[in-house]
Amino acid sequence: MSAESLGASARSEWSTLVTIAVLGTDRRPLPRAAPGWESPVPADDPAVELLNRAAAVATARRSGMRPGRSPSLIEPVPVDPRPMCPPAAAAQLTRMLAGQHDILMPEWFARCRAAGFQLPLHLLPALLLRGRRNPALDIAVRAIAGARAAWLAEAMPELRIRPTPGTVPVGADPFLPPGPPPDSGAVVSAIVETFLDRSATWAAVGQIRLAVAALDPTWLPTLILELNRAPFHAMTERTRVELLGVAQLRTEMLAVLTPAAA
Amino acid sequence: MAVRPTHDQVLLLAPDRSAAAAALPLAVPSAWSAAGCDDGAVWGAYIATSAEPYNVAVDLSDDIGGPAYRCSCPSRKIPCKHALALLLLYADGHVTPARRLPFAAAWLQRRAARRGDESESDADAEALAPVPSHDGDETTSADDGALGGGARSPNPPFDGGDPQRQKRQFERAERMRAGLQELDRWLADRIRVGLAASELSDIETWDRLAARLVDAQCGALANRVRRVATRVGSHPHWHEDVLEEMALMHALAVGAQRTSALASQLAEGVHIATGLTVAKDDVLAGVPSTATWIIAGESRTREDRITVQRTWLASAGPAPVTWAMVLAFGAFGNEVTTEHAVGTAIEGDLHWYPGGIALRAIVGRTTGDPTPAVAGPAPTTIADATQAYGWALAGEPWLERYPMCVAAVPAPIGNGRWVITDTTGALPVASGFTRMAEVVAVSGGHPVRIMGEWSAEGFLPLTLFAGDQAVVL
Repeated sequence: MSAESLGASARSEWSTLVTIAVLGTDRRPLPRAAPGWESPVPADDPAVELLNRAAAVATARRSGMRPGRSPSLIEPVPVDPRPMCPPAAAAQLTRMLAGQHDILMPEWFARCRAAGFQLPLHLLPALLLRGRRNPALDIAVRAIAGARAAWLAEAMPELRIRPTPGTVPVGADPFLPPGPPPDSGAVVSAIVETFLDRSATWAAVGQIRLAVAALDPTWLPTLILELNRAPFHAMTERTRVELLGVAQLRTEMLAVLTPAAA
Repeated sequence: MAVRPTHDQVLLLAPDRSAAAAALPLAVPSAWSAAGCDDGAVWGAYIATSAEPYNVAVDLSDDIGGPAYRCSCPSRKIPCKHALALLLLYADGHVTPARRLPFAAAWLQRRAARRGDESESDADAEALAPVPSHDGDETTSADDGALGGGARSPNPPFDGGDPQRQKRQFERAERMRAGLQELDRWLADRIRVGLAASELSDIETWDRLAARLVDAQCGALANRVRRVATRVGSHPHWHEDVLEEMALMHALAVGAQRTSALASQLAEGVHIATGLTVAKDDVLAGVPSTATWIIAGESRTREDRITVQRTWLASAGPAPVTWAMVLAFGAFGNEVTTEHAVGTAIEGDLHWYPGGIALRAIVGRTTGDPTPAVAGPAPTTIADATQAYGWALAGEPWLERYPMCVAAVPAPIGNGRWVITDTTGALPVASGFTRMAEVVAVSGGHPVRIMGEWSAEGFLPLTLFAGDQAVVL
């Protein structure tokens, strides 16, 4: 028997069995099996007999499953020649998207763009969805994502992503990394001072964190050293751990998001 | 006059891989006492593990029927590992000609007398023979099956001489048999009144059955019943899905009561699918497959307060790859700890669980640290992956999911539904999959390497192997 006629006979046998199973063998008699689909272990009880036959047909149907016809494809996005962003940088962005030290996100984008990397492609939907509420982020994302952002918006209308970025309202967060202070050494000293006089409480963390994010990167090793040496106090410990986290993530970020030596 | 078998010929006599593997370490002269042979037989006393030595004898005089075995150990495997080890010792030339030990002489004499008789007096010969009660004669049926006959579990009860334990095993087999009969009655009743009957859409109907199966220690089937219950009314063609599942459960229930009529690997598969557990040590005793294994993907499901984690391993190298599934369980909402990261490869041994197909496995000895394997397993076409699934299903019809790694493009088919497709066809993506946007964004409309599970619900993508990164979905 050819594959087609075998498939057709399995289909017709299956639809017979389904119809009777839905109505019940008490109400409908079970007809004789089509040739080749007889019960492997014949039984007197029509319900058992139906299950016997259904088991054989179901196994044949499942194991003989063939892929469906290919639908028409979406036009692919042009191949992006830029190198992919390193997996370590993608992992950092994933952490920031989860809310950890996200103060460094503008710098991550600025450095990724400067280094000429592509965005981690699997994070693009999450970034664009977040961009629906944050136009400045949206602009930064699309500036690196290039044609793929608009392509995704068109390919998956169910995401309800706009094809083009919106405009940033006046006075909104510009999503740019803070510029370095004129004297980063003095800022490091000031941060150390807040731990000595115990003013680095959790209430003050926002301001100090911003200072760490803005610091000239050459001062980061010094800051990490000083934070590790800072005296323990219950009031300042949480701040110290947070600042160390920011400084360390920033150091790692600088290490991976540098332009590849051509 | 018997020809001395070779080492390899002896291993071919093993009833399964685990018996062969278990026999090898026992084939050392120091484990044996009074081992001897003559023209037609080999015998000896295995003294290494128990206080009471096991008396082992192998009759090699029957050229047509093949060797016959006798061992006083409680294993029901024929030949058991002791008989195999004795033969290995003999094959390696460590057994010297000697006078027959009394137990061997008596047994061989009985056999010879019976053969000479050519009559149907086996039962009489047995009745006359003063053998210990648990000392199964090789001429009786090798395998009555756990539920079809005696209290046999996939792991031979080595301390089965303990009558308490035998009693417990027998009781368990009886409970399972009663549960399976009840399941089968329940299934037939549903077919009698019809799937359209209102009680089928009442979750209570299914829950009562599942609870009954749990009581009968058919846990695997109970979970299956609960999964089928969720499909009632799930879409317009649910009757077809539910009839398929009911028919397969019926096949399992019938098969489990007749395992003696099934091939031994398939019978083990039926046992596991109904709820018997296999001791990890028995699996580890099997001959391993040593290779580089890529951790290709991970999926989790909740089953009655337990999180089940499936880790899919694929052999490195060109297609077709060998797939393996390693299960881990986390009770009461505890996260299952991930032992190996997806997108890495380990060098080492996999030990297979028995079954109609080799799929479930345990990771045994590994060498070295995991290495990155971000390219993933070698992909196949969708048609080839579908065919591999078909063959697997032919080996184990109740298989619920099967791994695939394909190079495919996601394509929309309307209403927010997607398929993955290549030149050989398309597979629907499971409707419960929530991270399609990531698949589409990574592919950009180009083919991408996708590893996932195929099941009755469709294709569930688990890992994307794109560029230099394995993206876990």
